[in-house]
Amino acid sequence: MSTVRYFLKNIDKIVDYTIEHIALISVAMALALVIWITTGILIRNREKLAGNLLGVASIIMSIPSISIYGILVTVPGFGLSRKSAVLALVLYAMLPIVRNVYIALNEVDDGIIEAARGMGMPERQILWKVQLPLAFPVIFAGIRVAMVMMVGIATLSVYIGERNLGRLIQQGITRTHMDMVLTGGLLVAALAIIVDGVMALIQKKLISPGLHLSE
Amino acid sequence: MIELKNISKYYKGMERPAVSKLDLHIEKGEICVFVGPSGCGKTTTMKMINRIIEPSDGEIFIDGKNAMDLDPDKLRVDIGYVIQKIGLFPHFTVYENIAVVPRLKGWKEEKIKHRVTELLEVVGLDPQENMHKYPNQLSGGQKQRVGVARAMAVNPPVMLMDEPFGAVDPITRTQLQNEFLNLQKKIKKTICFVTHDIDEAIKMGDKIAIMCDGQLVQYDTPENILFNPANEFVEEFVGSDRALKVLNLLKIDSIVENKLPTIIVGTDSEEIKKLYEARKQFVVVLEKNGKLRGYIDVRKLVDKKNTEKWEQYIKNYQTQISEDATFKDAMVEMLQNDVKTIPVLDDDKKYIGIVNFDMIKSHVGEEYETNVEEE
Repeated sequence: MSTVRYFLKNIDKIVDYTIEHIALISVAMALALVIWITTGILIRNREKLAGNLLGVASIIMSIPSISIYGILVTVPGFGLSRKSAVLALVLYAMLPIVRNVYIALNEVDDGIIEAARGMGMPERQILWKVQLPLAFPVIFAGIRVAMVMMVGIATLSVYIGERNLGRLIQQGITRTHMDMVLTGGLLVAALAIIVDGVMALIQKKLISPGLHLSE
Repeated sequence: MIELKNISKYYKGMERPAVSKLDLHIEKGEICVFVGPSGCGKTTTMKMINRIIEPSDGEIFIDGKNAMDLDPDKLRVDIGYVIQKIGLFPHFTVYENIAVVPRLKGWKEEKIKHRVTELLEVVGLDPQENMHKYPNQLSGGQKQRVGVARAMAVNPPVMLMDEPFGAVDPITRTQLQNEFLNLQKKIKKTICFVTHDIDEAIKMGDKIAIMCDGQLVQYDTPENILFNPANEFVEEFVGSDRALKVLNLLKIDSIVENKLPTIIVGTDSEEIKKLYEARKQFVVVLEKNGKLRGYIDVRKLVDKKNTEKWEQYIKNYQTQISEDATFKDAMVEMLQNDVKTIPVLDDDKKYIGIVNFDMIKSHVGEEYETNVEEE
């Protein structure tokens, strides 16, 4: 009950934090999509480069988020700013997005590509009208994973000055204010679940019905 | 129509060229089948025509134009392409799949819709029912029909077909082959067809190009390939049952004869007696419009004095066959129905004549004799 009371009493602050939380991951995701999808497309026919890049992405993924924030803060031009928070999230999104774009584009049936080429489709059109739509379900799955991950990792950016839902957890722990911790924890969890659910809905809407049928 | 001049394809690290100095001329409106064991270069040769594979050397002329001078994408738009994997786009409907090349050519949507409807009818699919389906909702045979329709979308004069019927079951394959041959009679495309199946080659080809190790071993009509194989390789590739394959090649319209007397229903019974006096026995009975009704045994009728109401004693033929059936089809009918004579009908189901076992036997024998003498 006391948690509910805390929640209601601080509703304004919590709304602000939630908006900040969503704003951060939105900016990070927008950047991540542009950068990593482009990267995935560019490396699609370069097996060796792709291997190296995905290796780097796995290393980044395995670095604990708190230490990435720590490292970024020391980088000139980043420091204790939103830039660092965004960059960290973008880096974490690298593996799921680049890997899924690369794999999905390479898994498109050769026969389909050959037919497209044989019909005189220009390479650019083959990419946009054939390969990407066919790779889309797998690419989107990667984006969804990245998105949900970002909701969680964003909470830690409070250590470098972000004011989002993570702050409730961090300050609650410092002050041993359990209602505050619980509110923060539950809200972050709820946000992750909602984000995942919304992504699932979008996925259904965007994928060609012809591809649903093959599942 | 399609002219390959001294075409070669080399790959790095390979001992011999995939295709070596190949010269070939495909006449307009003909089906040329490339056939040979795997690795013989047949697919490579075909794919060089639309430059999916770039030739290392040599020239290709399509309708007099040098294909090497054209932009590959522009070249391909005017060459229909059907592959074994079919390669329909699963995220496109049947309509959108067929519309790909028309859209590349900038056709108006109304014209495309008209064309798609027409093409689906041509390949035997109900347009309304199938136009908005996705490929995964179609059977293997239906997909292949859509693949063929898609290749013909802008009515290209040339079509390349890479084992187009390889991925379907034998029954569907035979059906698709027959339908395609019927279609080809009307559309008269210049077709380059690749298969590893010599029977399919003999059935589909106006000309057959037998390849081995990147070289053209023999380029000739199916008849000549069967009767005069150029060397041991061809002889072996064609198989020891060449005589049987001939049966699959020769059409019965070449031997059908109007050997038996005919009579039209409603004819006066006096005619029956005349036939009897002329020492005839079996007489074919036709409807007034020339269609087959059955046959009568004149001797029996006269013996039993049944000539007055002779129409009551007409017997049906157990089987009949169309004039474009092969010798093999005819023999299968004969064996299965235990008969020696089969009536032959034309496309409008009108009676033309009969074939019997002896006619087939003597014809095949003659063909062999003449061809052996030529050698």
